Amino acid sequence: MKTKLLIIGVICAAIVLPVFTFAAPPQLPHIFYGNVTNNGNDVPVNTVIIAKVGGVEKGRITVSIAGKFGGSGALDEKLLVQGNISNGAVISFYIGDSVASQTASFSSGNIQQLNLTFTTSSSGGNTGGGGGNTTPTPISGDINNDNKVDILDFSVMMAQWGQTGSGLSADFNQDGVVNILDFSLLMANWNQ
Amino acid sequence: MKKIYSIPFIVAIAAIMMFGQGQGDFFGIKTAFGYGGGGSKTIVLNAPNSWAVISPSTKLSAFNYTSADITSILAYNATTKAFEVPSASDLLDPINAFYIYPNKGTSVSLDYDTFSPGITSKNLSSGWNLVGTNSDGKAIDEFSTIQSSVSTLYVPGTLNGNKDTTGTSFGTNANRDLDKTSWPTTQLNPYDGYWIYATGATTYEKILN
Repeated sequence: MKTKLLIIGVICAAIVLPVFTFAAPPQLPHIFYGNVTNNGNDVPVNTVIIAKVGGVEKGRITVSIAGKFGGSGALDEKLLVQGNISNGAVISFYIGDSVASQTASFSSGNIQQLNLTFTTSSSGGNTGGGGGNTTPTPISGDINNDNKVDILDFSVMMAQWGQTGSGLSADFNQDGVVNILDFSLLMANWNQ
Repeated sequence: MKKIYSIPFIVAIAAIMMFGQGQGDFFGIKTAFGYGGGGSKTIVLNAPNSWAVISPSTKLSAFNYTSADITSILAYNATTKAFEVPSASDLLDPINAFYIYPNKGTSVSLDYDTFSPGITSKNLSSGWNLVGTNSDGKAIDEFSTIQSSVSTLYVPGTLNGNKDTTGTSFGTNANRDLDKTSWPTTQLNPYDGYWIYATGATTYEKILN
């Protein structure tokens, strides 16, 4: 009799326990905003910063103002690092394959201003947005620094087509606008 | 002739019924808090550098705050299962709730929309959803349209309590799970937010009366 009751108890627990395991609402993210540079230069717009924990992406943000990610305003976009993450887990920040010098410890609900600095060598690094507005690659066309000029670079150029200002990674000739002149430079090195 | 004598009696009964109701009641029918032709309410966020959960009590025309005093506002997207920065218009609907982070003791001001009866609705996804309500009714009434789709009601009482409101505040300073047996006796606060766990996709509707 006791054995039967024990078995019934175990079965009931197996049914009930899963209910309690999901009976906790999502935890708040760890929130970041700040400045971001690569080799001392402002990272250009449209660069994507990815936050990873244990090598797994847990948040991303696209740079909308050269040299900044997110903002301090209530409704400004911010980098939200979230998901099933333990407090204290190490957060690393990436642009492409390049990792920032800074890391952070995950703390649910924390809002943190964090300035990110990336350093890439001239031969191999990848910052996703090129080297910034003071280290142009005038005729390379290799916007994403993957060592070839291809459709990926072209798509970035199209995203910036007609835009004006500084920090545009597709503005190869640095005349402040992404136009046919930049396109011709990209074509000159196509598939190289 | 006898019917004329009964008029004062009928008027008296009607007056007792009208004035005997609490705030938000009209002949026993729950009405939206603060609704009906404008006006505003100020809510004090009394815990600097802490998150609070808040929900408009009814349809708003504006959600006002001092931008330098608020560092972040977050909503939860049940479809992507992730928090996100809401749009300004998301802050105006009583069916929504959100997290707000003041960096100092400050207040927000809710400007009520002009009277316009109708229905507001929100698509809920399977899993956790963050919602609000527009009345101080019992949980079983406020969530009457989605009872069969909701398995758990979680009250983030601590964060709901990080603000001062004059309405009934249930669960202040206490986070708790509420199973459905307690719904008939659980009174909700139209300024609070609630997590509900939906077992499937459904639509949450509230009448704006």
